Amino acid sequence: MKKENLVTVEFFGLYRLAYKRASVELDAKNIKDLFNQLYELDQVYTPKELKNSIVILNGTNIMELKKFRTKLNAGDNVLIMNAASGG
Amino acid sequence: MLDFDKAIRDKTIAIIGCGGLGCNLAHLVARLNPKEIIIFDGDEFSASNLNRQLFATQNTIGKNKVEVAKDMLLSCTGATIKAYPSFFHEEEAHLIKHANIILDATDNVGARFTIEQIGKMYNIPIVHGAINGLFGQVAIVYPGDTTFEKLYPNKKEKEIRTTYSYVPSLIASIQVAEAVKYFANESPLKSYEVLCIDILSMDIKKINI
Repeated sequence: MKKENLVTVEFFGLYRLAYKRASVELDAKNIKDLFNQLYELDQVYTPKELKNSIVILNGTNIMELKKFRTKLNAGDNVLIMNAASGG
Repeated sequence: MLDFDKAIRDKTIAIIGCGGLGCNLAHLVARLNPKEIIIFDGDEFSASNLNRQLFATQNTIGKNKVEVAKDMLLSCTGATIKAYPSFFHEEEAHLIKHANIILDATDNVGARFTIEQIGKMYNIPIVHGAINGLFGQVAIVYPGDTTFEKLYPNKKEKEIRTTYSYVPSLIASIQVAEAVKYFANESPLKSYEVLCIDILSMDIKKINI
């Protein structure tokens, strides 16, 4: 039986509005897998579109890690957000 | 007791943009009586600005934003006001080279990349603020930081949602507080720290971008 790798995904800004929830728990092995699972959960953004988001894993931007190949471990916290740009 | 007002009194503050954020920034900074306020915006007030832009009134529609701002500010501050009724480009950079801080009230990603370069060129920190719908963020871009490259990796705007008076007011207040804290050396935001605020859920996060 496959061991679950549950991570908490938090949404902020436009992503919270789009997904109509503050957070969700998903079983994902890396960020790319997580994007695919989010698309299965709700088709609001494709995995390609999600690559335009800012992704913070346990307080660190995944661009400072292995980007979309960054591995996830059980209990990780993933924040998906965008920056506002209006004035 | 810390005298936060004193920290700003001999300073020159450049405000880039005089829309939702910029009107509030100009007003809040003016009340602190700095030495000089420099403000740029080539736009005129329109009816669509009435819902959120402090100096937009039935009487100011059609008038240049910074010219209106200057008149309003002179009645409540001892600061010298330099109002430039033009959009800010690299060509105008020399007009702010003596500024002690830049307050970002621009409304597009491209302008932010421009001021990031100018901040680096003249060694001036930028207190960044931006809004969209019911959320926004504040950060301090120290000279040489590449915060905007991290915040806007695709150099594109995402979907822009309607905003309301209390959103720019809140974000501008935090920007001014951060500027004063910077001058007073009282724990301003650090490099690449971004304070993100979602008013809908009243969720506030400080992240490292």
